[in-house]
Amino acid sequence: MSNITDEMITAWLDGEVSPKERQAIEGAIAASPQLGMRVARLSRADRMLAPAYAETLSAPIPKRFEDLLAEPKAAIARTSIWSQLSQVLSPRPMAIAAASMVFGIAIGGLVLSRAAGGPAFEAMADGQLVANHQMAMNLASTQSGGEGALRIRLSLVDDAGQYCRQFETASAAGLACLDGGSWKVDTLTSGSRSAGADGLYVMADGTPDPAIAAALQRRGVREVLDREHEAAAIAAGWKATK
Amino acid sequence: MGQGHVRFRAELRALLPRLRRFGHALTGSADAGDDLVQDALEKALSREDQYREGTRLDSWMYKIMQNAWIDNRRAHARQSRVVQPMSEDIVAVSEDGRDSFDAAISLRQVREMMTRLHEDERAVLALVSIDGLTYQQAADALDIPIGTVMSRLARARNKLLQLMESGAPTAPKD
Repeated sequence: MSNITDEMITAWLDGEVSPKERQAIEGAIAASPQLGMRVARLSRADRMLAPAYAETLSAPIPKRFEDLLAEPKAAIARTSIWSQLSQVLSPRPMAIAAASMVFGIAIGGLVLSRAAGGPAFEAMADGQLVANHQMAMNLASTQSGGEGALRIRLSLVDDAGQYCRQFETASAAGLACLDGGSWKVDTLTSGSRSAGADGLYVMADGTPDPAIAAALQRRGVREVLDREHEAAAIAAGWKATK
Repeated sequence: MGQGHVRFRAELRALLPRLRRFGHALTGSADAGDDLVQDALEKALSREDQYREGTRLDSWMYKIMQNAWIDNRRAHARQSRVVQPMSEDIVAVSEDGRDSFDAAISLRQVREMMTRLHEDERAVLALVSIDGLTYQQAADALDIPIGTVMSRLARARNKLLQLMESGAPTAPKD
C-alpha cells in the first residue's frame, strides 16, 4: 500500500494516530506483507535508543546540581536583603563627616570608640570586642531610626538565630550581635571611611558600608525586624530567637 | 521562600535524570550534556517567575535546554562533533542473542550513530523515542508544529536504521 507513508507508520507505532487512521493503517498492514516488513523495520529503530542512554538516566546526580538546587535559604535571603532593608529603613541623611574627624577609632589594640564619653567596647583576651555595660544597655534599648549618640540603623536575626544590630556612633559604625548575653562586635568601621556619602554609613545608592554589608553577607540574614518586631524584642530583652 | 519555590526546586531535582539523558542524547556527550543541564538549571532558577505552575516543567526545561544548545552551537559554530567514549559497552541488547541485527551493534555504537543525525532529529528522538513524550509535548518543547515532529521522527528513524543496517563501519569496535 503505497499511500501509507513512513510518517504514518511511525506515528502509528507511537500511538499518535486517530482511531480512524489507526483502522486504515492496520487494515493496510494486514493486507500487505510488504507493508508489514516496513513496519517491522521501522519498529526496530528505537529499540536500542533508550538502553543506549540508560546509564546516564540512572547515574548518581552530580554534586554540582545538588548544590545548585539545594541553595540554602540564607543564600537566597541575601540576594533580597537590600530590598528588605529599604522597606524597613527610610533614608536618613546625616552630616557627621566633621564629627568623624574629631573622634578617632583604632581597630585592634586599644579601642576607643567614644560613643558616650567612654570606651564603648572592650577587647576580650581573645581579641573579641564586646560592648561595655553602658553600650550594651544602649544597644539593647535603642530603637532604630533615632538621632541620639547611638543610632541603630537595622535590627535583624542572622542565620544562626542571633540578634544583630547595625549601629552608628559619632565616629564609628558596625554590627554587634547578641551572643551568650553579650553584644559582641562583628564588624567595626571608622566613620571617615564613607564621609561625604549621602548617609554616613549608607552609601548614596542606599547600600550599606561595604564592611557591614560583607558582615551581613557572611552571617546571613534570616529576618530583618520591622519596627513592631524590634519593639517587641526590646521589650522582651532580646530573648533568644530559637 | 514560598512553598512554590521549594516545590519548584524539588520538581527540578526530580527531573534531573531525564534532563541529563536528554542532554547526553542531544549533545552526543555525557559531559557536554551535563554542562547543558547546568546551564539550563541556572536559567530556570533565575526565571522561576516565568514558569507557570500547572504547565509541564519537563517541557519547559527541555525548551530551555534546546535553546541553550542552539545558542551554544552558534557560539561554537562548526565545532567538531563531540563523541565521548564511555566505560561500558559492547552490550548485546537482544534478550535471546538470536537477533543478529541488534546484537551486532553496541550501545556505544547507537550513541555514535545518534551523533550523525541532524541535531533537530536527535532532539525529537530524545524526546519521543527515549523520553516518551507525546508528539504534542515534544512540539511544545521544541516550539515546532506537530507535523514537523512527525516528519523529523520518521526521517530520523530511517537514517538511524540505515546506519544500523550498514553496520556502522566507523563506529568504535572495542
